[in-house]
Amino acid sequence: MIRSIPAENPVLTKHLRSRLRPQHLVPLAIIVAVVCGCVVWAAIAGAGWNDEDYAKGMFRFLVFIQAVILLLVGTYQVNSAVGNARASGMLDFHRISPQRPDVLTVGFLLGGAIREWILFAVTIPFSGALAALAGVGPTAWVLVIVQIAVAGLLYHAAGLVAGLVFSEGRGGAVLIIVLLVVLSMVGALRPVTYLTIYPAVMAAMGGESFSRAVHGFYGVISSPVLISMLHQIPLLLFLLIAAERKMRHDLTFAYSKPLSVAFFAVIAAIALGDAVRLPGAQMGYDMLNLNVGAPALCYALALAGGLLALAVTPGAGDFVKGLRHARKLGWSRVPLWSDLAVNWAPLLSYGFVFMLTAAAGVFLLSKVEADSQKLLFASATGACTVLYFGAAKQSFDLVFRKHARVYLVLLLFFLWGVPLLLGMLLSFASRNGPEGAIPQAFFAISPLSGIGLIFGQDNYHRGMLNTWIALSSAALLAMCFLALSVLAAHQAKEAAEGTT
Amino acid sequence: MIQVRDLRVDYDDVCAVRDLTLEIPPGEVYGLIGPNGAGKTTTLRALVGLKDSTYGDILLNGVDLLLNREEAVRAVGFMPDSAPIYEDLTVYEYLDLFASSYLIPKDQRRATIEKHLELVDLTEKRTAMTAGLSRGMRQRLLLAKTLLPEPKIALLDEPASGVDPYGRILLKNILRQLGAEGKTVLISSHILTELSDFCTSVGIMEKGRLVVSGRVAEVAAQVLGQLEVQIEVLEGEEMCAQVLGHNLHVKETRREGSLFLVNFDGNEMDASDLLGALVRSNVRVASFGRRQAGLEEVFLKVGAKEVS
Repeated sequence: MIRSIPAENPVLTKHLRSRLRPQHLVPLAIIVAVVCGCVVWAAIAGAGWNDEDYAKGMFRFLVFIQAVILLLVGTYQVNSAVGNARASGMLDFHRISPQRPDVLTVGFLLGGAIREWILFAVTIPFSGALAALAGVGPTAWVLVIVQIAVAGLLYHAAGLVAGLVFSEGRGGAVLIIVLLVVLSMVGALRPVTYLTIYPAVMAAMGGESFSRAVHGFYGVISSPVLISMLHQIPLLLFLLIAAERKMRHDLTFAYSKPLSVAFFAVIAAIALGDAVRLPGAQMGYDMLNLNVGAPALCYALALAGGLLALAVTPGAGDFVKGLRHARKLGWSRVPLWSDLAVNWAPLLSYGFVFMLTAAAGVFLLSKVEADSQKLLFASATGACTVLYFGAAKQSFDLVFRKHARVYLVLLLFFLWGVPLLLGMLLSFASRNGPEGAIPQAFFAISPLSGIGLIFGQDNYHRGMLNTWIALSSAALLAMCFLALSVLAAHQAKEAAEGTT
Repeated sequence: MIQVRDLRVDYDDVCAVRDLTLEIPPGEVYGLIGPNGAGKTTTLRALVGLKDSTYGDILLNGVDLLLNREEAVRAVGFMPDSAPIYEDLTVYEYLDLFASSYLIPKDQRRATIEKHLELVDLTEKRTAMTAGLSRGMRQRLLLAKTLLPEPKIALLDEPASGVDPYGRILLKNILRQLGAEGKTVLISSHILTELSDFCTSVGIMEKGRLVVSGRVAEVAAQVLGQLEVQIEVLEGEEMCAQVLGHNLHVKETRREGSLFLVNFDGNEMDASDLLGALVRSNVRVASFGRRQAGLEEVFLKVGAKEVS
């Protein structure tokens, strides 16, 4: 993406000018320095130099302040900067200037939160002092700072993409902030933790034993910070690709169809690394493989597949535009991988990658897990879920057009929410509660619980029944909605040919 | 030069621009007229690549927009109908941002910015924050920004909206100057009086189609069909009325005091003969000439045709 770094970035210069005016920056820098100074003073005066636990508490508090400044406020600022530029039409001016989209992306990414980066820099000496007081080693401290900076870039990139994608004013900012709050709440859970700053902070607090006890990636890497980087940096790159595409043109898709498949494959590789915790050189046999790792892999891939399907599905207008364009050029149909083509090619590719990942997982896990084939069934259910979700989205977009979103939400409520609700209600009437056969059958229909059930049942026969219910219902729906999308595309094509 | 062939632009189910073909040579100030929703703004946005066309070719100074967008739009200055401005910059900083965006060398930037500030008469506002500018001043600043890279093609969408009379005069002079410098100017507007002042050619859009296009006089003749002659008489009004009544080419006469407005279906020679007849009949003629048809009149007639 970055072909060459130009000597001058006008968008960055603009933000340096507007956001670093002394009358705005200096008071904020003083406030941050004073607050940080108070924290350091509290660590010294409150507990003395020998109480490392108290100092560690203060160190964590300062990390919290740094996270608020850089991750929360910074993300909001990047989102606002690009969202406002887009809403006002300024972004169009940049788009038609000779500046390349990657230069604009870097300009907004770094410039939007330039004041927050400066304020973060102000906190660093205080953080260093507290690290010394808390007995945090220099390497661990540097890793904390690096982790915050990388997570900052990742979240800012997410804010940037949200600002370029969402049309509802500050909606993107609100979404990002909610996401950050959720991340901070569930951030201690693997593998979500690798998308936060927890790994470095916990490693700094808990030392080497913390790393060895909890973390692993393909069973060979045990450094939580390194694992975290392996998660965050690829995601950052793919977010920047989306931002660069949206910078080039407002109405383009965030990802082309081949790019979305590549992104899905990268997510699959990362999720597989998290899920497979083999008996490695440093880590002993881990019973968590099938209880946590593999379900997390299936859910992560199903979620990623669903989101990417949303990103690459053309609406009715784009579909018809593609048809007219193809007709004008004398083509018999729109190429399957074109942005304006129906989403069948990426959907089938996600399914293929999903199953390939599962096969690799089964191969790796078969050495340590007797029931590793469960991963295959759960992945097939997940892949079929992605398939029918994407096909339903495509069909509804073509048939219901502007009302498609409402009908899709209704469909998901019926297919995912109602079985869960019925399962819960029936579990009250069942003698065995939620473990009863009938409640479990309903739970198996909804992929939200069905994927987990495939792994969770110890009773072989009950487990097989749940597996077949989950898998067959997902497969049946996938076939139905794929057929529906074929019909919808055919009808839309006929309608387009009837009008000029 | 702007060349558009067979351009179609769709918004979902709505066809905003339908099979538009247009060629605007250098030195032409072309006015795109049409009611709201006719497709003027969409056409302009498609010309700078901000709106994807469904199909069609756009060549800007001979460079294909679809094949080489970055190179094609380099020659273009675009001024949208809204007045987007970074409100946290000063006037000078705002222009400097775009001077660097358009790769104007650092050592030439100050002089270029000062020249354009002077052009739009905003020199005194150099250090003012853009947030404090009036609507008219914002439009002028936007015009300066548009002309900063010395574009060979200027696309202006409703440039005079919200501009005070002084600003309009300024704009008119600048546009005439651009035309004289051999630049291609395309202006869209639904305010016809502002266009008739400085456009050399016009095109009328209705429901996404270019209904008529050409030089203002040609379009008027094509649409209105016949000449309208205006005769101002100092003495001999009654005799004048008699002469007009006997002339075979005079279809209709309206009299406003000493002023006669004549619908005339003859050519220039016939008109000359009419003038000779008036003089021979001792009518003292103060002025005799073809009345310039207003764009409003042309537009109304085209609009009526479209509706019917």
